[in-house]
Amino acid sequence: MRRKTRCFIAIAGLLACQSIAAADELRIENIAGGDNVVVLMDSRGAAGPAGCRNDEVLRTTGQLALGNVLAANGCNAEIAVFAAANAMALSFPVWFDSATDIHTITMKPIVDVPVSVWIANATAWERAPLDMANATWIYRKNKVGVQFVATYHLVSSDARAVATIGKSCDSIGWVRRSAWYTPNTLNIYYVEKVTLPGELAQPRWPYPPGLNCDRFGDGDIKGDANITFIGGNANLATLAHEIGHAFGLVPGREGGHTTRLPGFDPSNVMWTDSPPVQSNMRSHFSLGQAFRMNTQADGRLIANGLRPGPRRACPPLTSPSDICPPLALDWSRP
Amino acid sequence: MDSFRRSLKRAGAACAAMLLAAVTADTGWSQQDAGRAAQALAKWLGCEYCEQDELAAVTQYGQAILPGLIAALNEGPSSATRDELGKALAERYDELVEQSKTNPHAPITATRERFVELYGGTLDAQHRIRAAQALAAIGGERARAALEAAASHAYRADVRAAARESLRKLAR
Repeated sequence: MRRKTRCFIAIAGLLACQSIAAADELRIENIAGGDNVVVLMDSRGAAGPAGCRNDEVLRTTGQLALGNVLAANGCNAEIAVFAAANAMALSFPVWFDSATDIHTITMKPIVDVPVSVWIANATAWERAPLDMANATWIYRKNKVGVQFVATYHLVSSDARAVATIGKSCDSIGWVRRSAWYTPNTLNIYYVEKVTLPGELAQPRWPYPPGLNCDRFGDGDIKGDANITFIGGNANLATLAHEIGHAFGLVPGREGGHTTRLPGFDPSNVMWTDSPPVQSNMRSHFSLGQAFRMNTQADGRLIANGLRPGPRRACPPLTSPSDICPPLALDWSRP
Repeated sequence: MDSFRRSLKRAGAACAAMLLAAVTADTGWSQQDAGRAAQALAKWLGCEYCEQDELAAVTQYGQAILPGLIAALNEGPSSATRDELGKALAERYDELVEQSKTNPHAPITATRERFVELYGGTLDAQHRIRAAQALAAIGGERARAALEAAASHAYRADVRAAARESLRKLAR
């Protein structure tokens, strides 16, 4: 009798332990460089109307126990994975109420973003590749899932090219019809001085360091986010900043610029007007920004066909929802 | 990261102190007024998109702020700001070189010294050019004399060009 009782207790204990240890599991395969990736997860964590868990930020190097993730039952079920050397993965798992589900995500190679760089200001010839390397460093460090593959064209000695390129978005019609433009590709124009388009013009300070033409055109063409101007007064972070706009962090005055927004500081790449040392060294993107750059419907990663989708309409300041995480949502570095 | 931020703050404070010294020279300002003027000047010299009417915040001080502007035109950023930027750029350079070892798409061909000089020089020019623009907006004989000197003797071509452009505006 005593032996039977002991045996019964041992079996019950084992079963109990098993049920405590049982957990749904996330497996992430093909992570480049052994990175500790960032997982952004929406799921149902508990029964009832308040059981939806949105924007959980988790970390893993490959296998992650998730506890018991329940069947979605009206909650959003979505996992985004951000890695330094892989493309962002967006996956829509189907969970069951049992704690035995295994969801596997296979990471794809990092997105190589082709960039055509047109040097209309000869003094920029030396710095353009350095700006570009810095941009790649920043985007990889923040696990946006992209790196830049640039082709450089020195056109500063061609007066026709310099005149056509101009110095602001009012030349985009000419630029797009010229040989100094690569369609469906980021085109970066290094010019001596950039001037603000009419709608942003400030008589007292007309020379911004950079300008992306996402919504500034020439009257006929409304804009082209594939066209960016970089001026001679640009700093080390300006190119990375303007590419942020090209990738969908727009409009500047509605959260595209993070200056003084809650949850941001001057280390953010999209922060403007910090003291010059800080401004040069800006290197941070939040997870909310990284998510948007990968999914924004009119961002160039989607629009240029570098990412298959899904397309989202999550302007920076849109209210957080199932499909749009807060802009300032972030992960703890490193 | 924290120490980096602290050092940036120190650089900002040193920059403001230098401007304060230049701004208070030859003025009857109280320390508080001089502090405000120095802050306005630092913001104008450093702003990127300058959406807060930074230039107007400087020009409201009129002739009294000329010493600070002339110092910025002739000397560029403070040595503390230069040093801090130089240090931060050198650290970034090392990161970029490290990256370039495994990423053929991100080659670094410049030396560390050149990298620091390149981006430090841009900041230096920005300070001087902004000072020239503010001098043109304020005007007067002292401003003109400083701009004429910079138009012929400034080290960088872009600063000389900005000084010439400012002189043209003064002439209007």
